[in-house]
Order: sequence, then structure tokens, then C-alpha cells
Amino acid sequence: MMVKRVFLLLAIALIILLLMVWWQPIKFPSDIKLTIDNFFSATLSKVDSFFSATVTKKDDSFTNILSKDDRDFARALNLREFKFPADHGAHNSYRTEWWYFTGNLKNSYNRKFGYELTFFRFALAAETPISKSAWRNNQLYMAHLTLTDVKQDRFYTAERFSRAGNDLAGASNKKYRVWLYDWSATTQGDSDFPLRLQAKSDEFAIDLLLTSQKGYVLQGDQGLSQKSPEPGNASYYYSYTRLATDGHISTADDQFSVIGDSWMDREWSTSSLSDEQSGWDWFALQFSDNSELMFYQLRRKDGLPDNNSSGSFVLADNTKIPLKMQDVSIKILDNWKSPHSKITYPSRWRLTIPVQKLEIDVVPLINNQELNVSYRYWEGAVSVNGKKNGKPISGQGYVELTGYE
Amino acid sequence: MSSILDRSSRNFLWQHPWQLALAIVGIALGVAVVISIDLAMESSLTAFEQAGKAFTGTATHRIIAGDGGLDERLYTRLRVEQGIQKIAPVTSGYVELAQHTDESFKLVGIDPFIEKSLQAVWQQQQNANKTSDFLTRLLGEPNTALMSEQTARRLHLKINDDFTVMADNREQRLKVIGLLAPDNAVSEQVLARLIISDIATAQEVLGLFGRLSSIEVLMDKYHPEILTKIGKVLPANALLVSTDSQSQSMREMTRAFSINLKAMGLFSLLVGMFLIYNTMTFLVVQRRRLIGSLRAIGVTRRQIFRLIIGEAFLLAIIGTLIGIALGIALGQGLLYLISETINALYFRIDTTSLMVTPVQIGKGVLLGMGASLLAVLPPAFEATRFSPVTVLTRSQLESGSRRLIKAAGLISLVLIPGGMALAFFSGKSINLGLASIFLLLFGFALLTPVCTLLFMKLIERLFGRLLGILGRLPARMVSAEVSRTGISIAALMIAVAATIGMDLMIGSFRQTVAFWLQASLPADLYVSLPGEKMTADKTLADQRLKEKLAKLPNVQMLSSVLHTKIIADDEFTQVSVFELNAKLKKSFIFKHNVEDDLWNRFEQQQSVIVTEPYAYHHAVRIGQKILLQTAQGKLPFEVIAIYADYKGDRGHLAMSRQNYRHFWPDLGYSGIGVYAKDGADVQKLENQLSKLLTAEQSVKSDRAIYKASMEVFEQTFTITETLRWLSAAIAFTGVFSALMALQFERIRQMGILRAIGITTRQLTALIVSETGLMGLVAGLLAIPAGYVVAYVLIFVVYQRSFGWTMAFYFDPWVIVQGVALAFIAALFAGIFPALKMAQTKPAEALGTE
Repeated sequence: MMVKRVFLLLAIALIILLLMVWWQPIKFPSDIKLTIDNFFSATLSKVDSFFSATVTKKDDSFTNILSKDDRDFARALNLREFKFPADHGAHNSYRTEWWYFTGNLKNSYNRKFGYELTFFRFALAAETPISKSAWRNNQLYMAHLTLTDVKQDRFYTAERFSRAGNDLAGASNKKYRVWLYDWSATTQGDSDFPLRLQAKSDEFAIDLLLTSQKGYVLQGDQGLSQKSPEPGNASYYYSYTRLATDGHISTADDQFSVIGDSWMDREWSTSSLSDEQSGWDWFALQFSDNSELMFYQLRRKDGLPDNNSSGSFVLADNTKIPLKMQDVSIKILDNWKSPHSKITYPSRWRLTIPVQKLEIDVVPLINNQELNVSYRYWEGAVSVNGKKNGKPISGQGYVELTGYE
Repeated sequence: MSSILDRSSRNFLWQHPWQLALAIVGIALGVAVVISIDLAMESSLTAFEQAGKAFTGTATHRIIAGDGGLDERLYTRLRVEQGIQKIAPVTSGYVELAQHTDESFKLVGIDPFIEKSLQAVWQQQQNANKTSDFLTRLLGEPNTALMSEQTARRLHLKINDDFTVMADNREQRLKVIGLLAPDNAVSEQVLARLIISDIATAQEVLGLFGRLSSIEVLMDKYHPEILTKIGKVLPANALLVSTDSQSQSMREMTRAFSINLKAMGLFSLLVGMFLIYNTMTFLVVQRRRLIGSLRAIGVTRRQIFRLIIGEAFLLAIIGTLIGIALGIALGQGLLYLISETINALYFRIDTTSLMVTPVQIGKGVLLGMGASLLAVLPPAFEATRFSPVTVLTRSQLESGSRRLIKAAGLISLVLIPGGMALAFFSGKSINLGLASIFLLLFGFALLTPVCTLLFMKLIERLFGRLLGILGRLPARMVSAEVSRTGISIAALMIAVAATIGMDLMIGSFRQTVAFWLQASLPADLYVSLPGEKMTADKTLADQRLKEKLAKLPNVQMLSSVLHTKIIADDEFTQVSVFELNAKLKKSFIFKHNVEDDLWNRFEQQQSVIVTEPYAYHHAVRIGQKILLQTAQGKLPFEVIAIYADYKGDRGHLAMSRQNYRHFWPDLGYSGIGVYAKDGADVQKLENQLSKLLTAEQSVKSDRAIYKASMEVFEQTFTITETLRWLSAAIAFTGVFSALMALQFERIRQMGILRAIGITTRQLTALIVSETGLMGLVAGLLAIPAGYVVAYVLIFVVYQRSFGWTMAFYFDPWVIVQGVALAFIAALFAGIFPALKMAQTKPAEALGTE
């Protein structure tokens, strides 16, 4: 009896104790909850308004800041003279800029890979802040690295961010060097090429040497690429359409010696797309006859192709033939729905360029080349097959699809 | 049968509410003190640990540098050249709110773009969209900051409100652009005293351009090569430490302090145990007839045992519960004292709020229950010994205890020398040193009954001749019930001895420090140059100031010191870099004889002088070499002397400025000593000097420094003093109540005395002189015991804890106070029962039992 009662009392007492302790205005430590936030995606969802009009969730305060001092930025209004290596460096007075490297590679057993290494620069404000702190900097860099492993049907992605301050990221005007932390594209000598690309993530890495085969091509009108009718809605744009590539790539379990061809696009602007435009499909294709095709089809929100779509055909002797929207017809042959984002992308195209007597089918090496990073888009290695002047032609390249929802 | 037992138990207990209350109070107070110390100490330490940990989330390592700070280019080298990904730069410093000048905050400059896997506090916000807004603004807009919702509410700030802080000698405005919502108590506490800004803003506000405070590193076991990579570029003044080892060394640093506090807590618990023991014994003895009868009707010994333990269990539960509640409340109070002391002695703690963990509550429950049941075992066994046939009479009980007393006396003769032996032959162990004190006190306690009997015999002889029977009676009454009175006297003796011991120790310490301070302040004026020793501008400014000071008329000479940190044995070691002069050289108090060429060697050779605590903790001897990290690698510095220093218990090295400048960058000065010409007006000089100083610099006279230092000393002892008074108060209440209980127990006896013609006044005198006598014995015995305790505290425990040697200063006033305390406390304990007895009619008194 006594014992029972004592235990009853003990139980009551413990409850009282717990109540007492909880009631006290005293904190109990508990394990910190680990929540993975979407900070970067949210930040970049604003930033991506620069190179695509796809932003649906616009942040008012941020857009206000941007539109307010938009006029402080320089705009691509006039033709300019390109000078190298200075123009390989950053143009901080423009809001957006990028260095785009893509390439198709294979090892000695003909195993195919694709890669993308892109450096983006975004200016948070037009003016250069004055401070004794090396960290005070308005230039924000972002970089994307992808690797397509066709045999394994795998697509690796990684991204990095940093301000340019304290030399954590930047692009030099003295020699070709753009970097973000330990990812970089750096010239190996006194001239702009060969250029060494180095980037690694926990899962995969690239280390490639790019040698220019054909020199650069100024896209649009001598490098001024109009994206919508309003003056200034344009970018400065040049490309290296064929860069012989060799080096190494590695995945978690393997390393490969590879060779292939890369493509480099350089573009900077302050505003490009207009409100009616929703995104673009961009093609960069290298053909077996040593010619290349660059074409971007701007899409309008009503689903129709935009009049400002344009591109160029680069012949084997590096002669550029400009292409207008009406010169190229693009037919979508297939679609693919991403299991991650549930977005449906076109996944097979027939390109016809009657003036060049060219008809080709463009097919992704693998379907899943969607970058589910802060800013979502599809950018993947493709193979090309078709006819030119009635003769069979093949090729490879990269396609970029933005603004799909 | 058991229901009868229950009822008998209940009925009896209800008749003695005061006794029950006393037992409960005893346990409650004991538990309260123990857990309040534990809670306050742990909270202070976790606050420090979490401040580092929760902020950087998963970081496992940290690159830190000495006073030069880290060059920010190191981060770039690690991140860009070495490609180390999971690292985060931090520039931090303290700012004061302009509106509430006493409130200081840590401004932490961060890079919002660090890897997400580091899980810093601002990356863990639930509402990601909101977070991203302010992080972009944080980077883009100068002078923007984040704080916790709670802090903002406290300061009445809303988003986009400006507030002004004092930093880098000027007022600066910051704008709140985002509020962090901590999702748990730990991060809430961490954030309570933090302002987070972009690293650029932090550098601008704090004036720490080019510098980082630390680089946080997340290193998993799969990437051991990171260690090598960091090692490749780590500069000489920087260290890579694991956060675990950092918090471990922090705990190591405060271990001695913590042990000493906990010992005081245990002392209180011991007193509590005495109280419950006393109560239960009383309750058992009172019931000897009842228990005898119960046994006669067939109740077994086991049932009796269970009955007593059951009662005790109940008391223990109630006492423990109250004790825990009380302990939490008391912990709140102690927290401030403890964190202040840690701030003064060890490292800065920014946030303190009491953290109660289930583990600590559990510890309290276990301690309370365990101690109570342990204390109750003797009376419970005693109860089972009551034979059913002959109900034991008091005399039999007493004659039995006489034998026990003799045995106890003999045991004490083993315990006291044993305790002393343990004290001096237990190496460096603080725990064993404290154990020896407990052993000694216990030994003296066991000796108490014997001494009491002897003393009472003496009194009886003395006063018996003078005052006849009434003169003999008080002493006889004490002797006759020595089994009860002896314990009370012993308890009182322990309490007083502990008080005397602590008093003597603190007094000796105070004297030693005062003497040392007076000797080590040879200059007339001291200019203090606080602030982060990080930037070259500050060094230059320091040097210019010193030149100006030297040119002042009435300045005879200068000395200077720079307090900095140098890496020795892969840990930061405090180093005082001196520019000496003849007077300053004389101010060093060496712990040994020094040779004449000492100062020559100090200036010319690669040598250091170490402080006594340093020598103790690092087991360094003269002639030994200490390896110090320089830009040229590790170089040996010979220890040429050991000197007294009571500034901190970790100790430091002293080096000549000449020596220092060979190997390390100039970081200016921490203080400049100004020596006035003979006959110069020092006050006037001080006024002249202060005009040359910036707002954060100050000039103080040697008197003012002495006063301020002694204040710091007193402050660091506040916690010790508080706890001492707390345990003493508990002990006295306990003893006081025990003595009162003893008197109430004897109502019948007193009734007889009254019946045979003793007047109420005589009775009062009788009772009061009995308790007074008890107090006197306790007080007298406490003198040697307290003296021994002080001795062990000074020469064993404190030296082992902190590495300081102190001179023993004997203050007779402490002894007088102690004895008076015991005597008066006991005297008072007699007054209330005496008055009660005086009012009781003899017949009533006789009828009570």
C-alpha cells in the first residue's frame, strides 16, 4: 500500500516537476533544425530577369531598385570596335555578362561526353562603390558546370557564387582570365589561346585545353546583337565557334582523357528581351564540313517565334553569313517532360535553311540535361544528322532552352 | 497490517510538521545550491560554445590568428588557389549601442555566398524567400544589418529602421534590413547579442580593413587532403583548430574554477544531508515506544525498515522537487555572477541565459534522492534494532553511543592525518585536494563528540564549584545526550570551520594580490591603448603617441607593454612584450634568486620570463626552452626566470620588445607607463596626457589602477563569497533548527525540572546556556579545523587550480568572528524553546509524552 502510494506520488510529483520546468521562462536547447533553404534560387530568380524574361515571381522591391538605376548602366546602342584581350575581360558598366563554354568530347574508345562551363557576371548597381574594404563590391559572379555522360545516361551539375571582391571572382582585361573561386578559364601564354578550363565539384571535374581553330565571329551587326526593337535592348556578342579541345574529365569513380570541339560565346548587355518575349531556343552546331551554325529563336509569350530571332552561318573559311528569322524554319519533332521540374521541353528538332540548302535533325545525346540549379534551364549536348546540298552531313553541338514553364 | 503501519506513520508525521518542514528544507536547499551552480556554470559555457557552433552550423575547424588577425587574402588563397570549398570568412568585433551605452553587441561580418553545407545561422531561416531578400541587400547596400526578432523587439526596431552604434571611435549608423527568426532556444540565445552584416560593412564599421577574425572550415573525413592544403598556405601567426578542441580547451581552462564551485555546492548538499539525517533520527527516537509496540504485535524488522525509508522517500521527493525549482531560480541569480567571473578571468561570454536541460534536472533528482536515502539509512537501521520486548530507554541508547563516540574519536585520529597526507601527496589533482578537505572536515566532525565530552567535563568542574547544581546542569545536559548534541555541534563546527577556512584563504589571497599590485606598479601614470591590434595604422598611431609622451616636460622616462598572443605548442599563448626601465625591472617579483645578468639576457638573448601559473600548468623549469612559432618556423626561447603574476590563471610569457621585434610584426602597444620627474605635479601631467588621447584610450594613476585591479579581484571572488554565505546560511539554519528540535524533544524533562522547583527564569538560563555551550565548543573546535582548511585551500587546492602561490596571512579577527558566530547562533537557537518552556505549565509538560 505504502509503496504503491509512494509511486503514485512520485509520478504526480514528476508531472508537477515537468510542468514547473516547462512553465518557467527558461529555454531548452534542442537540436538545430537543418532546413535547406532556397536562398540562391530566390536571389537568382531576380538576377535571371537579365537574360530572360521568364521571371514570374518578380520581387517588387528588387525590380524597383533595378529599374530605378537601370539608366545608370551603359547600353548596347552603337557598333563598337572589339579589342582583345581587353574585351575578354569584364564590362562592369553593363548589367549582365557571360562567358559560355560548351563542347562535345570523346575518349579513345569513342565514349561521348558533353560539358558546359559558364561564368555569369551581374552588377547589383552601376556605380563602383568607394570603400577601403576589398569586399565592398557590386559585381556578382555565378558559374555553372555540367558534364553529360552519354554511356551512363548521367548529367552532372554544379554551381558557384561569389562577389568579385577580394579577388574571389573576376575577369581580367589584361589577359584572358575569368574565374570564380577555383573555377577558371585562363590563357596559357601571351595570346588569348590556348585557354585552359578548370573546374571541379565534389562529384566531377574538367581540365581542358582549348585551342582556337577559326578565330572569332562577331554576331549580329558587327557584334551588336539586337534582341528586341527598342534601342539598347541588345547585347555585344562574339563567338569562337570551333575550339579544338583536349584534356581530362573525371567523375566520382573514373577519369577520362578526351578530345573534341568546344564553342565559346561572349555576351554583355544591360537589357535585352522585351516584355512580350518569354525565352529562347539557342543552337550552336558544328558540322562535319568544318562549318558552324548559330541561331537563336526568341519566343513570344503568345507562343510564336519573335521577329528578332537571328543567327549566323560560318563557313569553313570563317566567312559569316547572317541569318534572319525567315531564313530558318524550326520544327519540333518530339518533346520531353522533366521528371524533376515537370516542365516539358522540346527534345528533337528539324532545322531547315533553304538558302544554304541545309536540312538537319538535331537530337539531344540524352534527354535529361536540365540544370536544376538556382536558375533553371535546359542546356545539352546534341548530335546532328541531315543533308547539305543533297549530300549527307553530320555534326554536334549544344542547344539551350530557356523560359519554359 | 500495512495499512496500520501507514496510518501510524501518517499520524505521527502530521504531529511533527516542523520536523518535516526542516527535513524538506534541508534537502531542498542542498539540491538547490548544487543544481544552481551546475546550471549556471553549464549555461555560461554552452553560451560560449554555441556562440561559435550554432553560428557556423556544421563547421568542424576554424583558422584563427593572434592579434595581427588574419590577412583576408588568406581566404582568397584557400578558396581560389587551393580550391577549398567549404570555408567561410568572418570579421567580427564589438560595437556599443549609442542609445543604450551599456549594451554591447558582437558585429559579425559574413559572406552570404558561402557554401550552404556550412549551415550558418542566417542560412537556416525557415522562410527562405524572406531571407534571400535581405541577403542580397546585405551584400549590395552598405551599413545594412540583420538581427534576431527578439533583439529588434527589445530595442524597438523595425525593418528599415536605423540605429547608431559606437565603433572604431566614432558613431556609425546601421540599418536593420532583416530579422532572423531563431527556430530554437540555442540559436535564439546565440543571436541575442549579435548583429550580422556583410563582411564589407563589418570591416568598414570596425575599421578592420584587410583583416579577418577567423575562417570557419568544414572538413569531413573523406577529404583529409584539405588539411595539407591549408597547412601549405597558413601563415606563422595563424592556427587551424578543431571546434571540438576549442571548446574542450575552454572547458579545460575553466575546469579548476568549476570544480571549486561544485565543491561548494556539494558542501551545501552535505549540510542538507545532515538535516534530513537529524530529522529522521529524531522521528525514529521519538517513536521508539511505538515501534517497539509494533514489533510486539508482529511487525517485522523489514517492515519497520521499509516504513522509515518510505517516509524518507516521501520527504526526499518533496524536498528534491522544491530544490530543483529553487535551484533554477537561484541559478538565474548565480548565472550573472559566474559569467562575470568567467569574463574577467578567462574569455568573453556575450550571451547568458539559463539553459535547463533534462540531464541536469535528472542529476539534481538523483543527487537529492540519493543523498536523502543515504542519510536516512543509519536511523532506519537503528529503528529495526528496537527490540519488541524491552523498549529501549534513552540511557541504554546513550551508553551504546558512548562506545561509538570513542570509536569515532579513534577514526578521526586516522582521518585527519590521512586527509593531510592526501592533500600534500596527491600530485596536481584538484579533486583529491578538495576530497582531502572533506576528509579533514569529516575527521574533525568525528572528533567533536569526544572533545565535547571533555570540554563539558571541564566546564562542569569550573562552573560546578562556582554555581552549584545549576552551574553543572547545562554541561551535564550536553554530555548526557551527546549522541544528539554531538551531531549538532559537529555540524555547526563544520559550517564555522568552512567559513573560517574560506575567509582566511580569501584574506590571504587579497593581501598577496595587494602586495603584488603595489610592487608591480612603479610608474606614476599608465596610458592604456585598447582596441584590436590588427592594423598597421594603429601601430603607427601608437608609436607617434609614445613619441609625443616622451617629449612632454616633466616626463622622466617611459616603459611600454604589448599584450599579444604567440603560438607555442600549437596553442595561443599570452605574451607580454616589455620595454623596460630600471624601475620596472625592480617591480618583478621573482619566485627564486636571480642572477645579475638576468636583464641582460632578457634583452640580448632569445629568452623569455614566465609567470608562475604558466610554469605550473606547463611544468616549465628554468633553463628549459619553449618553442615559439615565428615567420621563420618554430624557434626555441629559453626560460630564464619565473615571476609572480595574479592577472589570470592561465599564465603568460614575458619577452623584451627587442627580442619580439626580431621575429614578429610590430603591433604597437597595449599600455605605456609614464614616470614623472621628481617633484613634478602628477595630476597636472595626467591632464596634459589625457589631451593627447583618443576616446577609447585612457590614462590612470598607479593608485587608480591599483583600486581598479582590486575591484576586479573582489569581483572575481563575488561568486565564491556568495556561495560561501549561502552554504553557511543553510548550515546555520539547519543547526539552529536542529538545536531547537533538541530542546522541544525535552519538554518532559523540563517539566520535571519545573516540578522540582526550578523557576522559569532559571530554566531559560539553563536552556540558553546549554545551547550557548554547544555553540562555544563548536566555535572553539572550528578554529583548528578552519585553520587547516585554509591551509589546504591556499597551498593545495588554489595552487593546483590556478598555479598561484600565496602567502598565508593570519587574520585573528576572522577567528573571533567565527567563534562568535557559532556561539551567538547557538545561543539564539536556545531562546525560542526557552521562552516556550517558560510558558508551559509543568503538569502540561509532563503530560505530553
